Amino acid sequence: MLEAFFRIPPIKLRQPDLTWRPSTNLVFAGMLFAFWLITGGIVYDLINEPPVIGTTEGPNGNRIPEGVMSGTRGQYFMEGLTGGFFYTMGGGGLILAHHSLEANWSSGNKCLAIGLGFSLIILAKLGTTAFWSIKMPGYYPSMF
Amino acid sequence: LQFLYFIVPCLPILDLKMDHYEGAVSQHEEERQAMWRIITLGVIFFVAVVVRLFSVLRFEAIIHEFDPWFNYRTSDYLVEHGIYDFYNWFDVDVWYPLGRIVGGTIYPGLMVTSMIFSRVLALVNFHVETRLICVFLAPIFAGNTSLITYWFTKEIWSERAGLLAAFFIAIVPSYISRSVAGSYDNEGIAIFALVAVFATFIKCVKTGSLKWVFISVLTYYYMVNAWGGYIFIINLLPLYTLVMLFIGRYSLKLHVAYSSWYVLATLICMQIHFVGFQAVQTGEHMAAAGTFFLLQAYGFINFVRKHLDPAMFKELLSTLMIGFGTVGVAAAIIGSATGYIAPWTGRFWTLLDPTYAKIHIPIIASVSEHQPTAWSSYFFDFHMLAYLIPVGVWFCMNRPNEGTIFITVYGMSTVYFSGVMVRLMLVLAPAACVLGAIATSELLLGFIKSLTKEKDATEIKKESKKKGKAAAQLDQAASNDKINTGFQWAILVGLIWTILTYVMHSTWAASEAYSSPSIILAARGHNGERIIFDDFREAYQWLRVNTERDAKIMSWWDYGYQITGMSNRTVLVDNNTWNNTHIATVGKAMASKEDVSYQIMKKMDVEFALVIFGGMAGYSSDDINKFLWMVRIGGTLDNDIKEADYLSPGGRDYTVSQSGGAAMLDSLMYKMCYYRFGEDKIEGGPSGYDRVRNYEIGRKKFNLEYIDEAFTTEHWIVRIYRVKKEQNRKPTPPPNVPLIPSFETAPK
Repeated sequence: MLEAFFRIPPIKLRQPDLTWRPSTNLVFAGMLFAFWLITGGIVYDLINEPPVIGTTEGPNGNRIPEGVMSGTRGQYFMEGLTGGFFYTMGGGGLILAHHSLEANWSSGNKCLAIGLGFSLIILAKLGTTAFWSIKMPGYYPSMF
Repeated sequence: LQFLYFIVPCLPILDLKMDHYEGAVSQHEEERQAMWRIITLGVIFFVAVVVRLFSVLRFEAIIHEFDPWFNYRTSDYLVEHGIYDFYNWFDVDVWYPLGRIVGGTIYPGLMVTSMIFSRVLALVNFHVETRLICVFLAPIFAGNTSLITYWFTKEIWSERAGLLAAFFIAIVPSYISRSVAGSYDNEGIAIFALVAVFATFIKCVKTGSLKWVFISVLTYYYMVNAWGGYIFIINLLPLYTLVMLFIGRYSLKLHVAYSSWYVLATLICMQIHFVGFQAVQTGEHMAAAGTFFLLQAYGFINFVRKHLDPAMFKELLSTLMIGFGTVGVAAAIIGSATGYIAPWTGRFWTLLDPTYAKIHIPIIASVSEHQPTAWSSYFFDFHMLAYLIPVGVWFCMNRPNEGTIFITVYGMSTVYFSGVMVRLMLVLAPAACVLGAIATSELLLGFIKSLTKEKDATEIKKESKKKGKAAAQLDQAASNDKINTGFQWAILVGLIWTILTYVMHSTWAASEAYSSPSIILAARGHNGERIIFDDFREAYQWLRVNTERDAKIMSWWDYGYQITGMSNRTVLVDNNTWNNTHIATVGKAMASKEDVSYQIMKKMDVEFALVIFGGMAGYSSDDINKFLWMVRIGGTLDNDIKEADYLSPGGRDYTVSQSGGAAMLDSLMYKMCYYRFGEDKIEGGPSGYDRVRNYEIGRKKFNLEYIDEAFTTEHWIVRIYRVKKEQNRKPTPPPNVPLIPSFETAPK
């Protein structure tokens, strides 16, 4: 009867699959993303609303941008996310390097993977060292 | 000591011979492994205790901070009077004139543990002072935590990872911060109980036996006695069960374990006076109940499915689901609507909605431990473990069983909560150590095995096949292998180097950042000599000796526990902060003019008022810096107290200089802090120069009308004032009196 008034388009709807479960890799990717955000201090950013990048007075009274807030009690928005990214990147590099040991890849690909993993770890280390020397100048174990 | 701690545990961990004997291990080998295990765990226990003793070596064996003083006082009472008097204790020395039912509002686990230690030692004729037991209890339990974490990780992964986990958790800075010697607080024993509950619960789920359920419930009883954080356990275990159902790992063992655990645990936690019927009446416990019923429904549906053919079952399933769902929703609605089931309290609701406390409950928002975490705290509190958490989760997800799924759920949920509140980094510490240990163990194993692999027969065959191919490809493969090996060596050496720096960082953090007693301050003088500021104890001793036994002291709530603990006098408000109106009354008294405050103090029978002032010594956590919170909290009681009046009139600065707000410069707090301060010149500078705020104060000369200065400590940190009695002839002026003639301001 409805066909008299409406022209029903030819769509076939399916009931969504109630037994769909996300794959392991998808869940892990989601957890890694959440880990990045949380260790980047996103809750701190929501409550205290710091600026994305801070500014300080230079020697001549001009404004220079300041990326990293000194002192461990606070952070800027971008600095926090970058710090969280160092943790995630370091972890990701280690995972990649370990995975390359036992994967079925050709030796060239293995080489690339482990090299990439190693460089990610080194970058994470260097980045954290750089930030930390600004945040806490009196940090004693300078060997990190 | 650091190097010893690093080398000794590494030896059995790197001892690869552990792998070659699977199944039939010779007697000699078994004994050798057992010996290594005992030595390693012994060293770990010893270091866990010793690394927490810095403040005892530098100062003395004294109770730190604020909360531990209350715990010490109650432990002392318990040891002296026995358990029944303790449970029925109504404390009249605090929250005057309200008092506090200590027996019903306390988690007694910590005090009972101290009492047990005290009695056991007395049995063998070691009569140890309660103070010493309280100071050293936390380090000993830290050693216990290392051992139980070893067992926990051994259940989840392997023996190697267990030893590494014990190694990590013994010195992880976040745990040290709450369990140094002297920090006599619930978390010191609660973390031990937390890991024990989790370890025994995993055993329950793995074996499905009621014996382990009983052991786990008894451990849970200890945990509920110890800390309010047991809410985390009672919500994490249902979450874990739901996750297991969701990913299709329902099993009869899980069903038996969770159901019996829930019933027995709820019954046993209701035995504690503080919890009582909250276990079935508050929202925080409802997740566990909901999961319990859901599990029964799921089990029933599974059972029915086995006995019907698929078509019939499909018809029945929708009816069953609608039926169970309706009953559940109806129960929830009736429970909340009648008010029988209370909603989540503010303290825990803040964890789910972090902006709640800032808007609604300023007292919770003002505590520094409740602030959200910045990124740097993760590095400072966990060092390399912060990088290894995702790696550990990766390994766990690739080998899913009951234990690894649990640690993943535990780890990720605590990562979220640690982001919301700095104080909860402590709950992340065991998960981070376990996940980090799993990651380190697998990484080290993987790289060492790959580097020490000998070319066996299959490899040689492969290479002889390859000889048929072009020579260039062979060279390429060989050089690729060399590059691979190079990187693997680099990563392996880097990993071991990082473990070494972890040990160095942790001992540095324990020594510099987390070992200050807060009640004794120390600073370096010009020549590098150490200056000790013992003002707090000086003032409290003065109160103890020079005042009547029933004198009432008014101070801000931070110092309540210390005053009752050390001076043994009555206070108006203390750190328990259970009555916001009473605290707001004190806040109003501190923030108002002298005459209004005098009325409030008279009404509360206050005889002495105490403020902490850091301007002379440069101590920055003083009451002037906390004053805005007093104004805000006092403003919730009386709408006349507006924060804007206390800021500078032109701008929005909070300042006590000449440009400060009129209400600020006329408040009781300002007068008590800066009385006679304007007359002193410090080291050739101007008079009245505040060392914390770094400017001159606004009002230097004034007289006090209703209070008298009673005592000021050596470095002016604690200042005590006596409230004058009412005069005989002069009538007390009404509250809204205009400015009295002795008021003098410096010209603007």
